[in-house]
Amino acid sequence: MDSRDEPRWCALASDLIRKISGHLDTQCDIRRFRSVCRSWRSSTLPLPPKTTTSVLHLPGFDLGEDDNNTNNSHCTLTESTVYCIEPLSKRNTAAAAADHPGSNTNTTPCWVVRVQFSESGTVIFKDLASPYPIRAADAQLLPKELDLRDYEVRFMVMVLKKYGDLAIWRFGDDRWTNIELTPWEDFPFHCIAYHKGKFYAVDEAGGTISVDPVSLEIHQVVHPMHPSHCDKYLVQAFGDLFFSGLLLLCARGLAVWALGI
Amino acid sequence: MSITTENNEKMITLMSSDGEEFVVEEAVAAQSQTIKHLIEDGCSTEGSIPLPNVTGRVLSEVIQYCKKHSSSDDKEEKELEAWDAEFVKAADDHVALTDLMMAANFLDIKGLLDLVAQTLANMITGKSPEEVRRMWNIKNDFTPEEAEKVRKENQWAFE
Repeated sequence: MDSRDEPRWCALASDLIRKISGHLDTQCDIRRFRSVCRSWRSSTLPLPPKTTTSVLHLPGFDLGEDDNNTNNSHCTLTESTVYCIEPLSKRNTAAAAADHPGSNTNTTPCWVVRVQFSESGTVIFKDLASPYPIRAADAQLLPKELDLRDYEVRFMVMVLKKYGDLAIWRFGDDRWTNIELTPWEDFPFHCIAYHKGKFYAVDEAGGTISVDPVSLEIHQVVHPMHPSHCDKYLVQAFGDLFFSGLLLLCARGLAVWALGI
Repeated sequence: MSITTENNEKMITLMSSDGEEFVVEEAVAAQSQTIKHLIEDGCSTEGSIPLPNVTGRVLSEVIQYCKKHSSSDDKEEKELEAWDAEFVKAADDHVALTDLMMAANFLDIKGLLDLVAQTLANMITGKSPEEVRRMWNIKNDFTPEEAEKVRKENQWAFE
């Protein structure tokens, strides 16, 4: 028998197995690594318990009008990571959907959620636009439980670069993908946001685009008005996305546009 | 056996487990801490250095890596990275990479060890444990109790 047919992994000393696991990037990958066999599990350190929520006790806000409002505030500082979760078995389907921009990407089995770890070790999924956890009752949004052995958990980042250019990095990408725009859209961007499964960016002229994180397809949501030097912000409120322009030249001017998305 | 070339480079002979001999410059061989220590201890003067854990096929790959890395300086870092990427690609599959990793470990070549470990980690990333087992012929040897622990560790439940 050719020695190449032997399962060499079994022969790898535990320090080499540990060395490989040390090169894994995410906790999910480490968990899956530990799920392969006994020797891989025993060679890899268990993950430290992780909690991303801590309670802060801050002095109350003195609103100066109503004594009832000066009670102590109870604030919670949370750290959450935005993940894109998709079933490993469906990855090919998702890739196919991304290759055909015309197809309905809503059917892609991929969720973009914020993930937090509670003290008890359970995981809280949150919609990106809302401070409230997604409840199991809310639907077919996510399965009731996720077995990480069957899911790919990724994350992605969109950045607004110094000169108002946009770039996206998706987990596993070797490099940033620049968001290329046609010249008439080429005003520098002022603000970016994530809302209802898409990235949004507003430019100097008030033009707003959406970028699909899976297909990277770009849509013009709001056409540019006129370029002005006021700062534009994208603001999430009441479950909707707005953009506001802070008119610095005429002090205290604040205009708000509802994006209707 | 140590001989010198025209450039006055000291040459070292390495012998693989299957009896293949490789004559390399000392600077190349010394990329391996194990060989470097053997040379320092005078083991290279009485003939070739035997490497009982490394086959000729793997050793020729290791030497290829050491040659490249002993001849490049820091300025060529980008080019070296590209070369490394091609090098592990040529290693082809996880079996060849595993052999390479064991050799890098035995010969104590840190750069190569890290490179191969990273490549293997990349191959595992994004694969389910079942896929990893199937591809790499690993037996799922968890007892039912352990399997339950594994399941719990992988559970993300709604609060």
